[in-house]
Amino acid sequence: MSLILRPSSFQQAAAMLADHGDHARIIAGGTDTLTRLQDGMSPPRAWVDLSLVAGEARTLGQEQDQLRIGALVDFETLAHSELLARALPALYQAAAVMGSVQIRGRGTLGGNLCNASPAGDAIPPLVVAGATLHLLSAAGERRLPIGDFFLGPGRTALLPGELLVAASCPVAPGTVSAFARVGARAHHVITKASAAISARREHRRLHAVRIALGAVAPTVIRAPRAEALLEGQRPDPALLAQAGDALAATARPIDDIRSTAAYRTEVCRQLLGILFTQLAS
Amino acid sequence: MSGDIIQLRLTVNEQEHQLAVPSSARLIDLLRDQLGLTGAKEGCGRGECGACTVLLDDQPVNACLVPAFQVQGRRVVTVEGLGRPGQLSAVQQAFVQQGAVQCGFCTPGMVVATEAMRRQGLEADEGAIRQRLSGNTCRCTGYNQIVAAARAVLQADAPEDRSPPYRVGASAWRVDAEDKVAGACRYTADIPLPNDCLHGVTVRARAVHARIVELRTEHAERLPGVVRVLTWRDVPGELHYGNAVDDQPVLARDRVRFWGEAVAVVLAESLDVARQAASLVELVTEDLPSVLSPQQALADGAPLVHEGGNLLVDQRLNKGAVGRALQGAEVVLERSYTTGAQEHLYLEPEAVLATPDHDGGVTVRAPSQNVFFDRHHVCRTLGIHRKKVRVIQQPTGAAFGGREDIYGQIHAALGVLHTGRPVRIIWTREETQVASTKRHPGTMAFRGGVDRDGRIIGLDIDVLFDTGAYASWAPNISRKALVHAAGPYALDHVSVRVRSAYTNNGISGAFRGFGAPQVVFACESFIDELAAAISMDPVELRRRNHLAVGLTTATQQLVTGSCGLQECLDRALEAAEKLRVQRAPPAPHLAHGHGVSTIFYGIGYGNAIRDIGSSVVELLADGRFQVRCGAIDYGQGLETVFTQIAGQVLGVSGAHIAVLTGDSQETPDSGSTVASRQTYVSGEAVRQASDRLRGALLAFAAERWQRPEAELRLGDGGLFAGNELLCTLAELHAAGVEAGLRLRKQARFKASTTRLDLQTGAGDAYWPYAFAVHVADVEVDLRTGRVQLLSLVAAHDVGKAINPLMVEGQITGGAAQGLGYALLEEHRWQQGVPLTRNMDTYRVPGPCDMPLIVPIIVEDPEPSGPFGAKGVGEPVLVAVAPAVANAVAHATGCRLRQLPLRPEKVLEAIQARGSDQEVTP
Repeated sequence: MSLILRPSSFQQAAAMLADHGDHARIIAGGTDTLTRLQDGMSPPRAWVDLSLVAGEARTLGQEQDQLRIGALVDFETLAHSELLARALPALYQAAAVMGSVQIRGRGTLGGNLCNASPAGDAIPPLVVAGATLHLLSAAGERRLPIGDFFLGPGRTALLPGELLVAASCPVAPGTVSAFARVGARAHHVITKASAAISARREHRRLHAVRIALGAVAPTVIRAPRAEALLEGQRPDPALLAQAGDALAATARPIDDIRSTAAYRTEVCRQLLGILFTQLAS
Repeated sequence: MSGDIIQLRLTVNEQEHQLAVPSSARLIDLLRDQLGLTGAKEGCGRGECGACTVLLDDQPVNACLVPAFQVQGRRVVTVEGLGRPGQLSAVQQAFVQQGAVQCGFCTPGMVVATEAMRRQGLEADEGAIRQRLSGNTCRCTGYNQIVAAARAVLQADAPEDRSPPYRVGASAWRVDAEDKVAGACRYTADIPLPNDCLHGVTVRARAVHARIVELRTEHAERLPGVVRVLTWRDVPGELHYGNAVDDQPVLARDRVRFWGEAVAVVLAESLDVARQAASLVELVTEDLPSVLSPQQALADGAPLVHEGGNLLVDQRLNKGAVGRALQGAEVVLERSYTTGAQEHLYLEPEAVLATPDHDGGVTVRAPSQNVFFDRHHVCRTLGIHRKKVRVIQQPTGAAFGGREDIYGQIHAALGVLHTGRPVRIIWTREETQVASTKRHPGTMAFRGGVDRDGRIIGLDIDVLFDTGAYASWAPNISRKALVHAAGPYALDHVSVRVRSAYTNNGISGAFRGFGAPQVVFACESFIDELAAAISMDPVELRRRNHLAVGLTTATQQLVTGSCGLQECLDRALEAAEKLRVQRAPPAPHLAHGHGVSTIFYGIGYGNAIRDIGSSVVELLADGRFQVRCGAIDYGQGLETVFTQIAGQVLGVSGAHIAVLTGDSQETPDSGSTVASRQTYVSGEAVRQASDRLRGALLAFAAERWQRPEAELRLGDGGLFAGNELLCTLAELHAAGVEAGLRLRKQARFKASTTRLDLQTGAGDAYWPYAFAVHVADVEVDLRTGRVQLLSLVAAHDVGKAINPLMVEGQITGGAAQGLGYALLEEHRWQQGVPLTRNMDTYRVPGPCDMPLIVPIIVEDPEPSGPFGAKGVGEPVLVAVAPAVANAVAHATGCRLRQLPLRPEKVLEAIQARGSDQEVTP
């Protein structure tokens, strides 16, 4: 028997989670949850359905130098947001290629993060943006750097009774970002390997370089060696090749149904070039 | 558990509803099961296929991914809410007009997704349209006609108000399109559940190769709501059945031969209970060593999949003396090629509804490619006379060869036999993926020689197919490979051996191309390799060797007529060249290349197998003509073809012709709808029957009205002498009945082939042959190995295009499947356990993967065919992969000899290129 709980705010949702403990499960857009049910997951005793939670939860906005995205913002909204295109192009680009229009219209940013797939396309852009995640429980809100959120495939640092309510990140003038991925076909496909980059460009030199790789490790990972190689430099083909090698060395991919470890490693080597082509355009 | 009920209030198609639904229900369940709105289809259950797309507050969503409790208070629009037959919406009308509908199973989702674009006011940009349709998979059309329909709507093009005439050569609208775009076409799962209907769920073994120690059903039987659990013991007739060999058990008795094999069927009052009970059936097995490749199957001491040995087929063809001839050749090459298993992935998963008849018989409704075969298998296994079994083909969500095999039909009929109640079985996509047949994986070893002046001396070919656990059509498929392996070339010396071996890798069976795609990929790649070896243009090498009238094939069959190969080649090359000169040069990280394939393809069963088309045409009391034929329209448009042929002969419009197909009781057996044969054999039968009826009616009328017969004609509205109306067709019917005239004519037409000699393979293997030339232009991303097809020029000699729009639909649809086979699609196993179990792992091309396709229709008429027509369904797919592989080799300098050309392999080859080593993946 599943009880259907329909809170009208995150606070109420947190209270419900507190009441029902492990027996409750959050559902937002449902695109991941329903495929899990299809795969045999037992329904929880209580669904905490976030459909009625409105307001800030479903909007993105910028206040001074902070971009804040509500956890229930869907990917169609992100893919059409002019604000996002300016503030964090990497996420804007990722949103546009994620799933299908049907999936994007339902799937939420919070869902993509909490699903914690290493191939989740929203994750690398937020990692390079240095995002902070806002977690709420009956006890109150806590903030976690996104790098501390993912523990493994499908595993997050969310505590029992906690839910993700927003992601925020600093927006620095002069900062550019981009996202690129490789999949089996052009659209509506799960990523074989992906990367995002964020950097500040001053006199054609790169500063505060951050690079993240998707689908090549148990979680999305940063690439510190490649970042260090690019930091303060003017990228030229030789440097990009060197940094590409560093990316390939950072990746710890596996063979699976979608691709091979060897291919993913090679793609990591190439992704930087693809990202820079995108940055240039 | 899902026993609890929630109360919902929502608006569907502008009607308010208050419903009580289980908390576990999804939006699709609510629409289909509670409201009877079966327009939204379930193709995959996980948001991959898009066939269930509906609008939720104007936003397109997958109804299979929305829990019902989330639609509380919301507004849903389904395809039924957009328009209905006779009152179609603009989008629906555009789909009809543009030929965007084939099997129709994806159509409601496509229509709704397009409607969403219209409501959002999207601009008519082709790229944007394709992206917005990427959540919808179509397996028939290749998307281009769908995209054209969407563009027409977004540009607000004025719709046509009626179809071009139903005459031969006209692009008439498909006769079933209106129902399909409106969501009114009822596939098997859409039939309202009969009272008392039981739900069947198949219990499948989770072993690759195992001895069955015990099968315990008591726990399942004790679950409340379970009516019966069927096992092999319940099969009263023959336990084994099969297309070519009766080797497959209805339900496994003592041995499991592939992962997912059926061992029991649970029949219960509800689907939920049946599913739960299925998990309570206990199957105890003891693993046996498994056979995971045909090479392993034929090795000494290999475990046996069947007692009679693993070698199922060993066929040979010999023309000339290839061994001696190659000794004298200037250049001799040896190459080996491999291809993977391909899944049909028709969007409608297997479904069957069997109902008891009052006379103790059973009626089976299911998608099918041959209702008479289905009836035969049901009768043999149930041990009942064929008069007791009627099989009706429901509208079929495509087939591509996959519906030549039995899936749930026997199980459901067996359920009826034992319970006396109706039984419905619907497979999930996962079941379809693991238990339906696949295209045979193949290994093709080629040895061949060529002179420096481009004369191919001879080909020595050894083919090995993986037929999987059961034979299905392996002998026939192997024969097709045998005949086509040496390509459309007039060679003096050819030797081919084709073997097919049992393994524990699922089941291989019929799939569009039927053994030809594997060998043609190898042969056409090899021809390019020979050309490269003598530094000759591969097109020139083909020109110097290809078949023409007066030359003989590898089976020593003389080509006597309808051989449009040369025209295909000339026109395809010219069109491709035109496109190429307009193309901007590639960026440094990209490489462009082009490749050609020239193919021939035998239409029909071949090998002197009874290949007969049969049709009855009758004037009905209401003045319409009825065409009856046991062939199947599974989306390719056969009913429309018959309407056009009958319309041409009888002189009446489409509205005056009713076509009935695919009913084992009401239509004459016209053989299987396979082998690209039905337009040819049944089309000719329809033409002849129509012609006889017309002759009889005019002769009767000449007598009755005392007019010279030459002045008389049939037409819309009646019988005419010149422009004078003598009587209506209904009156003609009445007059005929009164005079005792037979108002029904039957005709049969047989394709003429001969039996191949078992030693030499000599004989008239097929009749007629279709010819085709494809030119693929590709772009290879040197960084990722990704191959993007830029354009595909596809020239096809079809004899005569009865309906050019539908021929183009076959070409773009076949191109999409061929493109998938070339680049993307492979059903995979790991130690016999299937890995690609749904559409998120078994990927097929989406709208954005399709290139520009330029169909070229060549018409070299076939004298024996209706109005000169041959066939086109399969040849398209066959020609794609080799053209693409040759283009990739041209672009990169890397010859890949393994399908699909995964980017993983392409990149590996590109990177190995620098190190000067030849890559043979």
